[in-house]
Amino acid sequence: MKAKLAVILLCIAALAALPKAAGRHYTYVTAEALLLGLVAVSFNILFGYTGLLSFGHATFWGTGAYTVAVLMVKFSKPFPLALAASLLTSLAAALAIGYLSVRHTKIYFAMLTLAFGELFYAVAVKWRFLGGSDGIYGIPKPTGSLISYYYVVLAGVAASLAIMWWITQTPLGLTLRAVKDNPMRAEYIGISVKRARLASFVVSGVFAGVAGALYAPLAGAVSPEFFSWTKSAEIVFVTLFGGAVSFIGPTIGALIYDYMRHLAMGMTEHWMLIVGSLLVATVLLFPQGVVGAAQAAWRKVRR
Amino acid sequence: MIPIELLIAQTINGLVYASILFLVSSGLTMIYGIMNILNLAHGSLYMLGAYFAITIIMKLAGGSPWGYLAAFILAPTAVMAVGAAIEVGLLKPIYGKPEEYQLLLTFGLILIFDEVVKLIWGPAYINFPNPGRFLGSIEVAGFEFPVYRLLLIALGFSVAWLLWFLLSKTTLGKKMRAAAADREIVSALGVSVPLLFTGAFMLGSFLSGLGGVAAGPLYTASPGMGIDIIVNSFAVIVIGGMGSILGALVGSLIVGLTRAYAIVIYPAIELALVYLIMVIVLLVRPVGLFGKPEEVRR
Amino acid sequence: MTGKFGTYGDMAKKGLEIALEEINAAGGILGREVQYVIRDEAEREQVLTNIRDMVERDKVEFLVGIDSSGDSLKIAPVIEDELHVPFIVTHAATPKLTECKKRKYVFRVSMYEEPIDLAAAKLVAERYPDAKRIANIGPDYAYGYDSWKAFSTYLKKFKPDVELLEPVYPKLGTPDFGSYIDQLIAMEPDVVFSSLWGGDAATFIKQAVYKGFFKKVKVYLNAMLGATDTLKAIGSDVPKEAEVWGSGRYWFEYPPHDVYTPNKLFVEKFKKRYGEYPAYVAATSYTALYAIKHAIEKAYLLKGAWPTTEEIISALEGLTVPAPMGPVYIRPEDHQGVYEVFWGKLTLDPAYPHPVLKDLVIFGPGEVFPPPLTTVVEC
Repeated sequence: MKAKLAVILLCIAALAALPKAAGRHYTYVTAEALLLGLVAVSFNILFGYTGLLSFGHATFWGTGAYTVAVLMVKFSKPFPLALAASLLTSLAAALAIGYLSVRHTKIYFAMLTLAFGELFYAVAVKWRFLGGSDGIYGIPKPTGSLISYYYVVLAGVAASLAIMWWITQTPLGLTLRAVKDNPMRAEYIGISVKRARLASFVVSGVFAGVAGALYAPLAGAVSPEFFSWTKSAEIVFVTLFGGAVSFIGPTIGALIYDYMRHLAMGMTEHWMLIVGSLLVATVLLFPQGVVGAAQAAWRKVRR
Repeated sequence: MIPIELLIAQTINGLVYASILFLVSSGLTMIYGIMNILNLAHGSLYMLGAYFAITIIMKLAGGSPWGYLAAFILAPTAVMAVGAAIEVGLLKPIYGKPEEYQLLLTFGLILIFDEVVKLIWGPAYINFPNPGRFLGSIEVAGFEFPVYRLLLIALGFSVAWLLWFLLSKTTLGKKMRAAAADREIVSALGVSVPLLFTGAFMLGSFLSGLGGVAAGPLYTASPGMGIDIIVNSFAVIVIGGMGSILGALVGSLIVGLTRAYAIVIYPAIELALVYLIMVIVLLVRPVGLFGKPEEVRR
Repeated sequence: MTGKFGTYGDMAKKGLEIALEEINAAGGILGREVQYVIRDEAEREQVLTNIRDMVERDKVEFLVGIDSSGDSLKIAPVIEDELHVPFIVTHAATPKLTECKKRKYVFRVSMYEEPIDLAAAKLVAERYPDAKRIANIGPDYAYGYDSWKAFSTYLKKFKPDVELLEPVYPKLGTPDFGSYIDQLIAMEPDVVFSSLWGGDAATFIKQAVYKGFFKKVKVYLNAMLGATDTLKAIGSDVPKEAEVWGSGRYWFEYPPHDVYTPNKLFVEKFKKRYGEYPAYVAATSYTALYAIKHAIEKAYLLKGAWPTTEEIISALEGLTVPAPMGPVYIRPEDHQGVYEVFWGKLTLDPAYPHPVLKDLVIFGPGEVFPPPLTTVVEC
């Protein structure tokens, strides 16, 4: 317990020291990776903890990002207000989509979430108020500079992760796991499976929205691709790659993935080939992800 | 008001798209029905069909009409071989595993195929020599239609009929349907389920490749052409019922005609309308129009 | 220390390489060798990432390129606010990039869409005085809407009696234009204006030919028809029954080689090396590099030492570059390069590997470029 806390504090300290040590480029990449990690962890609440595979998680990432973009660029509102608003819009979207989706499972659930994602994408592409296929650009950084905004992102991610971790430790968190392992048994002992799943969906969606909202000023622009199923698939991949079996696994996956992405994009145009192959390899060879594989190796070493 | 001639013209255009959609989604739905796998890479197989076809037509036949005929037979066959390799090499190892693994693996294949295509054929779109040159056009309701498009409609319906015949009248078809309903009993009766699965995947791949060959001259071959068709195919099989070929046919007609009419009636919602229908179907009748409620899979 | 560049696209690369070779062979820019870094624009999402990486990690000092107008508008604020390197645009054509507010670091040496659309309006008003019903087809995003807005606004000014029909906007990259072709035919237009480009422009024409579109529509104008990739894709499917006009940001035969040597030399070198005629982006990329070279040299002359970014920017303003498309003057007020506009008829000519534009009608920049920082398009 103490050791874990020490490790966490060490990580935070290292991340805080990053800008001075590594420069603007790595600061940007790390901020981007941390936000991808946040949305992946939020996805994992739904997937790893509740057993629901959503192929439309990018819907909430996009909702949060677009809310901030619209409010800051079109209505010149300050960032704190935009962030708060994005909490509300993600909540609303998650409630609506979740309510309709959690009555189904497995493939139907996946298809429904995918369909909703594509619906949001279609609206974003056609609606000129949202910028159409070009999206919205020129989103300012609320704190002015990249480095100072990095700390905002760091704080936001840390706070969100802490809250989600706390949720997994509450009775709700245990309920979710029970629902995942054996829904029939859970129902039998009095848990409303649908309500538990909806709660999970909403928590998951809201934090995905927060991640998207924090990302918009970082990138400076949003576009309909934020809602696409390919973005959703990236979130799923990063989660699985890092390890859906642990809370922080998805973030580790995101960090590795994003660093690799920047590196590979600098070397080849065919970066997607590497991602695709990694995905296939992960599924075939180490479906427990990097963290899962590391844990297994550690157990072997211990013996 | 929209002139009736335009509506007739749009009906034909919608039927053309529906035919191509049917070729792709029939394979997709059949694979799901028999093997319980949703092959996300099905659009990539369609794309490969188009690319193999252009190579056959241009490199081997120098752009002649005979190249087209050859392409219609050889390209889907090549895609079928690719499908076999995928099924045996990558899908068999993960059969017992949870669904998400299959979805993710086939998604990974989409990424790989898109890049491989770019590597081999280059990132730019490739034009097919226009079949109109040797097939010409005929006039329907005051609009000219290339004969090629009308032939595609005929192809779609012919394949639908052939599939129906295969699945309901032949022994092989009966085995496939039986395997879709209950794998274990079929296996107990001495049928090799793994072989059946490979066969089903190969047939599905062939159909998708055929769709690609058919679509190539109409749409040009480009990397990423698979993504558009696969998302629409999802809508088709959800609407029609996952696992049902008849559902794929009806679903293709609904999606194809809806898009064609939407373009002239209210273009802004053309894209969203199909997904909206998909969502409504999933909420109201998740099994789709012709799907069967989930049987217990053993 | 060396100067580095980031850019996109195969044709752009070819144009750049020729310029780079020439410059480096002549001793580089003030003795420094010029190097370049190239990133693909293909994935929309990756553009900003690539640009940031190029500037922050690879330390490029100048950016050259960008095809998509949407991307250029996305990138401009990031360049102006964070990255602070001169960005010479070589193809993105939206007026909004340069005409809505003056930018410090963003320049454009390629034609943007408004002068071409204005010229088209003039052409229609002068050549087709009996045309009344005007239809439009364009890709479903800002470039499509803005092109129609510009063309129709100017046409109404020159010819108030025209009837502007409901515009049609297929999605970019639409594989099948069948429905749109039928829709347009049903409108019975005298003139169809099109802002389709690249593969879409070719696909549309090919499909339209076989649907008898050009038997019903007698005049078709397509701003980006002069692009060599589009021309190659059209192949022999050139409509015979209608007048099809095309334009572009550069046509390799204009200014005529016997009259203007820079173009002659550029085209000959390009054809000899790559076996094909240069597309516009090759010419504009080539021009961009030379603009940078001349600007640095001019600033050096004034200062006596390697100039700062601010000094290079000042030198670029008001510079005239002897580009392949004719002399390009970079206006100080909006950093936009101006040169002659052409519209030509799409023609099959066996002497060339692809269809070409002939019977060019030329418009001087004074006739068709709106004053700096003005545009009919919404900012």
